[in-house]
Amino acid sequence: MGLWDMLNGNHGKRLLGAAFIGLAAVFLTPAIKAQTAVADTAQVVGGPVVMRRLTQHEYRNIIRDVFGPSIALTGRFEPDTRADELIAVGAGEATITASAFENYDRMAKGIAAQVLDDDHRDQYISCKPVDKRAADQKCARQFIESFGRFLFRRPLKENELAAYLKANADATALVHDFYAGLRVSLAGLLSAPQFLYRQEQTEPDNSGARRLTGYGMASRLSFLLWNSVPDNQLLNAAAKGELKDPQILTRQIDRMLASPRLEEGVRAFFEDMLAFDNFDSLDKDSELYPAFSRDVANDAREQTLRTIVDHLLSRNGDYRDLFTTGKTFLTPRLGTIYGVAVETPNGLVNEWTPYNIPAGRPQAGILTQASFLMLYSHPGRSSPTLRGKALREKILCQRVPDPPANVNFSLLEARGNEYRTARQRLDAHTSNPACAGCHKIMDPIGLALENFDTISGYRAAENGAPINASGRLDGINYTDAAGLGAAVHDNPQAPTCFVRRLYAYAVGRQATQGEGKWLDGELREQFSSDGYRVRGLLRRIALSPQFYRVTAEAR
Amino acid sequence: MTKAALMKHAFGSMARGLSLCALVTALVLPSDAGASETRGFVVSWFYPAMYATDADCPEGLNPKVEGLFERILKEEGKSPSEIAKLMENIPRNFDEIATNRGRINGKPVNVYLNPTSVPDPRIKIGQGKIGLGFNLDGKIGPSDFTDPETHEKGVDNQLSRILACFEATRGTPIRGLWPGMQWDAPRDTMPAWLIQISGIDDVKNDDDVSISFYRATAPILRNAKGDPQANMTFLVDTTPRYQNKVHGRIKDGMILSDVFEFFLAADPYIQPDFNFKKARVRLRIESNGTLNGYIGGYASVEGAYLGAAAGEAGEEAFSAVDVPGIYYALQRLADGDVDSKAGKRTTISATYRIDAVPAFFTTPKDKPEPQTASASPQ
Repeated sequence: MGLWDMLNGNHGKRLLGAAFIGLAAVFLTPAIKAQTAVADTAQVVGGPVVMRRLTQHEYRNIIRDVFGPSIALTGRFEPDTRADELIAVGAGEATITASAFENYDRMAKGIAAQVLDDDHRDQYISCKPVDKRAADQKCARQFIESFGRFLFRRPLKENELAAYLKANADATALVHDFYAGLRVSLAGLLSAPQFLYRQEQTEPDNSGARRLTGYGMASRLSFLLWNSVPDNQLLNAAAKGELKDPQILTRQIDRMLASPRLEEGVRAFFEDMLAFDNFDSLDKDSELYPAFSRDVANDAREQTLRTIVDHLLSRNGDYRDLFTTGKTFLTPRLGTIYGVAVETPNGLVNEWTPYNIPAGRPQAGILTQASFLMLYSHPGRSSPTLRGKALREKILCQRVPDPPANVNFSLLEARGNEYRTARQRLDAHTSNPACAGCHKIMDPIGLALENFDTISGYRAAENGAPINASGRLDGINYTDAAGLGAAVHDNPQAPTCFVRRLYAYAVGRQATQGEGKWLDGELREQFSSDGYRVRGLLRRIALSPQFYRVTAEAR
Repeated sequence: MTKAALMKHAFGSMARGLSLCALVTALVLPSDAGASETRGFVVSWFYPAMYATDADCPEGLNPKVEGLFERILKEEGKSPSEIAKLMENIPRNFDEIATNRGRINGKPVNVYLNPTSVPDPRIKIGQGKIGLGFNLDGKIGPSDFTDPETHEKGVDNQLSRILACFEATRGTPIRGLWPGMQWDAPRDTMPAWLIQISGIDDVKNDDDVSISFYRATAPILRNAKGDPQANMTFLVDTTPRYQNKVHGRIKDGMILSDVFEFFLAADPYIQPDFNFKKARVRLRIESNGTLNGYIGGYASVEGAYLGAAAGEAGEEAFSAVDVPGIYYALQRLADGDVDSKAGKRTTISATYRIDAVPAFFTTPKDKPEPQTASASPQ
């Protein structure tokens, strides 16, 4: 199978620019061969390898981790693609169009120019060329090998290295500048499919099936736990084949779980799970809700991520308690939305401080935080339907069908109808049997959050009519939003969904049938017996042979 | 107010701000006990209170910038053709010529620093009989107003007469362009002004409340409309001089203060500080939770002049408020304290409009709570 077959076959429809195709054809063949062989292996618990385009976050993190935070990214990213509720899964179907490749190329050249400019180059290159105006293969090789290993998440193969060295030599000969030549090589590395796509290579395992190579394991681990490339220690372990040793693998995983970089990985997962990328386009009607601003939206996003990191990592808390916890963080600016005083040491608008929601408040847990409430609302009003749908799909993994094309709103829009609350409007709307089926599973959840407007400001009444926030979720009754949080906490589907979602995020696809049984059975049970600790769940996934086992089984 | 009601208020609709002090106090009270309420506010607008009517300026308004510049050019001795040429581009030409129109010993000087370096241009002064403010001296004199809202007679507000006949300062019912711009421009950098009404047992009628004015350590936070965002939490600047606390009462919903001395630092662009002697306030908490009203007293003549002159030529061109004209008018109309040594009055009766939105206050943990600060850390 050639590159083009692979790109247009198992891995979706990808359109690549001519330059990209040329590079890919040279460098990808071995990986493709490995994947082709997987299709013939025996059926074991595991799943196919997915070639995933780097997400924007991953790209940014890699450049920061490899070259340091001073390197600025100039250019636009191709929008991430979401599939099966996750960008991590959509990345397996994401394409690179010709225009997108131009953007990647521009970004690569910008990075290379900064890394090799007069101010920065000495911190990246330990050798000096014999003649700055001529090629120096030894020094160039040292640089390309060193950084190529991190960027490709594995050592460069000889043919790859030769190609980049030739590019360096040709460019240097043309412009008589060693560093300009090196810029060409580095830009080439950053434009290569081996960098832009996460390619996990496989090898036969002891059972006659296939598994990820050591470098494949290292890459999968580091993107899951750190949302970035493996560090030197992990790559060294991969190089020595040590990751096949359960004891060394355990030590490496525990090291990674103990690293502060774990926060980056956990944040990235929850940003994906909660679709926080939609914050980039979130807007509200400033005439109706002048308190909303880009800064407030950013604070809302950050509040939830801080709550999650604090609860799950700092306190090693129960995942389910995210839906009931009163412990969070606020800035004075965000306090204006909630209408609460936020005391900070310096009184700055953007100063974060821990905040405990007083008992008895209708707010508790991340569902009542501004991030969820703002994100799943319309610009000018709240939306019980969007909120209910988001909870069903993102937290409980329950798919809600799309609305029919011929939705009839005439009943709501007819003059003389005085529906003052969302509940009244939705009751009228769902009198249509065609609409009622889906609305019944979304609206009762969303109506519990109706005490919070589209920017999460509290309201006891809508248009003068008291808001009834009571409802029922899968057999559990509640009277307000805090009660809804408690109902989600006690819903067995919530942790089941979480296990499935985390695994899909980790492998970049939905679980196969075999994996599904393992996830819903053994792993779900272990998550429960571990007290629903997410750090523990990450460890169990990372240590499991299933995580590295490769099969051709379809979803 | 019951404990439950207070909690609902504090964490419920939050249409109104509530200081942390009041909240903490309220929560420890027995559930049915009555508890005094404290309301916190951040000042959104502060500017001279004007009540413009058609009868204010029987001789017409003071000239706009074209008229002002033409007069300055004539006083400079420019020929008609020179005047016509310079008038073609006022924004470019006004600055240098207007700034250096003063003369001392025949030499040009900055007129804003030396307002007496030009003759008194005798700006037109308001002649109206209706004006906002307070009867500060207890007398009813010929130059006093009758307040259109309270119908109080003998209202002393000479500053409003000085500003009455400039188009940029007339502002009824909305603030004038110039004072509005003056307050608005530095709001992103000037520490916010805070107001606290405490000891409220009955929002309609209460004989014993406290009214406090503070300065925050940080500016306001603007919302998408450019207005101060309500419910922001501010750290109080505990500088002793910025603590203004006065006893007051509520009558038919109007919060009225006893006489006190007010001092708060502002911003050099507006004027460095505001100091009102024999000050008093009247404020009302509106149904939407905002606070509106007035503070009146004898304001510093020097401060009022600095407020007019600080923006120099740029602001004079923008507002067409003749700066040396303001200086001379302040000297003529000042009706407050007399500096017998200097042989002139140093204060002038004035009233300023206050608009404020709900806010929370805290005080720094590492500093003792000032005696007059009613906000406290949680």
